[in-house]
Amino acid sequence: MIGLRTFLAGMLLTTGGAYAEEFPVTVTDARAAQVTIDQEPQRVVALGAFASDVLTALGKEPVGITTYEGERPVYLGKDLGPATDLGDLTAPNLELMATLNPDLVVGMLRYNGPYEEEITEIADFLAFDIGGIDVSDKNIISLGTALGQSEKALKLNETFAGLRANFEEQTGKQDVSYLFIWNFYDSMYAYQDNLMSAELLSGLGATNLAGFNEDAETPDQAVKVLEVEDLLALDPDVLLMFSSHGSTIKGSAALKRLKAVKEGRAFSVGFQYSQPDGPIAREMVLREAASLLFPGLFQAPALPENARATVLKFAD
Amino acid sequence: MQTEKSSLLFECVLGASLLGLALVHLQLGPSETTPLETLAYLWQDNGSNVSFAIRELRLPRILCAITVGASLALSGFLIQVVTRNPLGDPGLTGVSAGATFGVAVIITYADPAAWLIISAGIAGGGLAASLTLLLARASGLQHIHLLLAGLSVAIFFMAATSMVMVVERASMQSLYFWMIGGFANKEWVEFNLLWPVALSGCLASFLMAPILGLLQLDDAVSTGLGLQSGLWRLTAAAVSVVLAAGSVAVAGPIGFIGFVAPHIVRKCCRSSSGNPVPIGKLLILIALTGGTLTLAADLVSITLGSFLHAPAGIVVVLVGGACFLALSRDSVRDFS
Amino acid sequence: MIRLLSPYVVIWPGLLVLTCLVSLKTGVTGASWADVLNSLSGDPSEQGHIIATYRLPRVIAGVIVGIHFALAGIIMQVVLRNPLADPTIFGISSGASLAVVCAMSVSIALFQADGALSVSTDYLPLIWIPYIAFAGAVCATVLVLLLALDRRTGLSFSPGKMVLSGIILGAMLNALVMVLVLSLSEARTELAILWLSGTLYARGLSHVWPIIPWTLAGLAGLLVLGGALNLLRCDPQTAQSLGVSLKWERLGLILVALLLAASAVSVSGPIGFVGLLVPHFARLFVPHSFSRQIWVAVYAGAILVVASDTAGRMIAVPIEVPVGVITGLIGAPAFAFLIRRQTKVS
Repeated sequence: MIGLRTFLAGMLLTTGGAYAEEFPVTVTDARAAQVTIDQEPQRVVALGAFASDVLTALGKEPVGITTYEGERPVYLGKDLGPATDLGDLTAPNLELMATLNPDLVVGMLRYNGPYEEEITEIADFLAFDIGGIDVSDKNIISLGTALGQSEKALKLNETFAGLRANFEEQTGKQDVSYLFIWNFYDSMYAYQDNLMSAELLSGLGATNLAGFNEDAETPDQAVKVLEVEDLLALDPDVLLMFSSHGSTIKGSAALKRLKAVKEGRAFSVGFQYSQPDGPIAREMVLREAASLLFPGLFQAPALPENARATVLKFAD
Repeated sequence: MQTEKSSLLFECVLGASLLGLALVHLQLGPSETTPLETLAYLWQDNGSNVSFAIRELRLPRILCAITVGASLALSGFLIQVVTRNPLGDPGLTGVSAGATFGVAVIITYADPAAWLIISAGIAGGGLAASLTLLLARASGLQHIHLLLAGLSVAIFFMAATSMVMVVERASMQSLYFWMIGGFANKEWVEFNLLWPVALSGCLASFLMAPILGLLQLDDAVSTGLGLQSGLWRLTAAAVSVVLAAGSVAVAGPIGFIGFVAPHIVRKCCRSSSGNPVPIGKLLILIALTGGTLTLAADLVSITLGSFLHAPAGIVVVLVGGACFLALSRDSVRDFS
Repeated sequence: MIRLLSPYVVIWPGLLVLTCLVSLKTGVTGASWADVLNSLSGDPSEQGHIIATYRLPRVIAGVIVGIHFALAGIIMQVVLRNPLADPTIFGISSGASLAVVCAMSVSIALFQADGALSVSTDYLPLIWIPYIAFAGAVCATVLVLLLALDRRTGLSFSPGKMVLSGIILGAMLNALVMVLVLSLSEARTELAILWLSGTLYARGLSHVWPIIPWTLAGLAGLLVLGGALNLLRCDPQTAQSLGVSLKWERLGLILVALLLAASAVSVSGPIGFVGLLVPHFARLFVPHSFSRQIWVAVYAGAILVVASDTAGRMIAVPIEVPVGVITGLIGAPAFAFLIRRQTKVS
């Protein structure tokens, strides 16, 4: 866990409520709902990685969290504290949630939105959704304000914007092509530039071969289903892959023909790439991806071991 | 004479469509090629990615589709013979669901070798088949009872698969992965897993061909011929399970091929004089028909792929189901 | 007086109440019987509050849904003269599901054209869903009946063909549902799949209220047509000789059954086997009195769903196993047992 601590220290965060906020505050979430929070929330339930991430970045421990495929967000390590496991993000155990006596529940609109009525009965409910960098900024401010730390949240965003600008300057728009793939058994989905991971990487000056999806009505439609052969035809310089459900990577014979694999530039990356909206995740992704895309220019950041990218290995 | 003519026509159409579909399938992909180029690449590997795609990606996928289709078709036919029921199908008798369960369990709880996956599939399929047959035996394998027994066994194993997935916290999507079959990204690895099982199943059915012919007759007749019909029916059922389970382990559950293929063959080769097609030839035709249908379904799935996500398993259910409803009119005339 | 004292009048409601109480007591956090009683009072304790807020509405939803499926099953079995009729087997649930998933996709498309940011409106209004499900169920049933229509003998349906076409059509409709679900965005895939497996997760009074009128309408329809239903149990000739054609009554009863099944599907998604098993179960217990069979079925349906849901909540805490999965696991062997029993009797 030293990795995460070092990383957090690098994010120039001071712990402790240095910026006292005046409560009540009113924030707007992704439902466009105005939620008024009367007192500084002490017991927060975090449904999904984004909420856990923001809480950790702001130095708070959630009382309840959800898992994704049975796992806590590993990149946050033990800093999440002894939070109660509420089950799967798509159907958190409401009864258990109620017994935690939370005063704020932070969830994901797409999964928890349909049950907002039930959640609102337990506590104030804020629902956020994934999107690009601007959405992430907005959500961090909203949640930060709700937690009484709007200035700190603002600072997180400013620091991150500065970091991105700095990185972009250093790369000087070199021509590197890449693909970020979410792999699930036989299926491969390439993230398009509408999604934040790709937006971050493309923002560094690299070219996403999956492109931008003009027709996507919601960000999560901005994926391209790839078959192994498409991968061969695209042949990116750098390949980043997140394998969900612990599935092994398929199609080794074909993948070994890829430029990226031959040159050792194909990587298996951590969970944070699939949901990089939180302040910790996005900075991890930016820093690590920069070091993977432009190895001469950037050092690999110190990340917790199981969040670190490794060179892609094949079963045989 | 009539028989031979209609059957010859059917054979020609079948062969031509199988080859044609395979050729079209071979050309489809991100980098399109002309038929001649495709054949040239098949003949000789020039080291390019296109050549690799055709030889190492498209070809095994096609072979997988054909083999799975042929296996399922033969499996269905064997079930039909064993149960003397024209509605036999690995899906409808719970075999596919049982095999899915076996494969899902072993993949969830272990990191198994390839042969273990297939074995788990066979074990699950065998368990399901035994349950179905045991349940329906009480009624002397009457059509409706076999159907219902198969259905309840299938629903049970589907529910059990869901249970494993939910308890093990796989996401709901991975559940669907186990409920729909398809051929996306199937390569030589899968084909190498599949062909020994499929081949031994096919060989076993061909070796049993004369006996299968007898089994189709009355129990009284076959016993009169000195046949230990109980034992042979059991053997045929086992072969049928192996064929279906191998397919399921590789491609997931794909429904209705086992019913539709034998039916089409019987219908197209039906003679006016009433002479039955020789059983060996019947088996070959059924396997080829199953392969052709499945390949066509995969082709449809690829073509639809750009705007609808419909794996071959779904295409087969939709088209096969329609065929089933149309074809079963005749076979269920006495089905009440 | 005698009827009132009959064991069936006491035992079954008693069993249902007991099941509900056990379901109220059972949960991820322990509760005592005192908590359960306390929760029903006006001023609940903390445990009592949780029971009243989470378990009670869910139990009520389970009871209503169970009653719907059970009544739908018993009506269909009698009217179609088919002991195997069941909303889930006959493709009715699949039809309702397809309609609802279609409507979900359409509502997403409509919402997108709007371009508004208030994403919460893109979920279908709850009150609409029963109607949409009903339309889907009617279409699927008409198809199944058309396919099973025996043209040689006029307006009669072959039970075997009905089962066969129901199963096949159900599989096809489910395949279409999958295409739609897989082509929706990933987030909706998860939600739709959860719904399709039949779940009472987060179901409460707000979900049950929209279908209460349907329950009442269904029960009223059953009262009005109850006599006809009883007559239909006889063979067609006897019914005819009694001077009733019963054509309209049959149609009316089928609509009542569809209404009940579709509205239940709209709340919980398809929960298999309840409509199929429960009437058989009732026949096993009260073979001679049809009116009692109906009541036993009503109670048994509610008990089955509530008990399955309770089990589903407790098997893999904190994960909840959908109730449809549990009824599938219990229902399939029970059904197999019934088939065997029937074949032995006949």
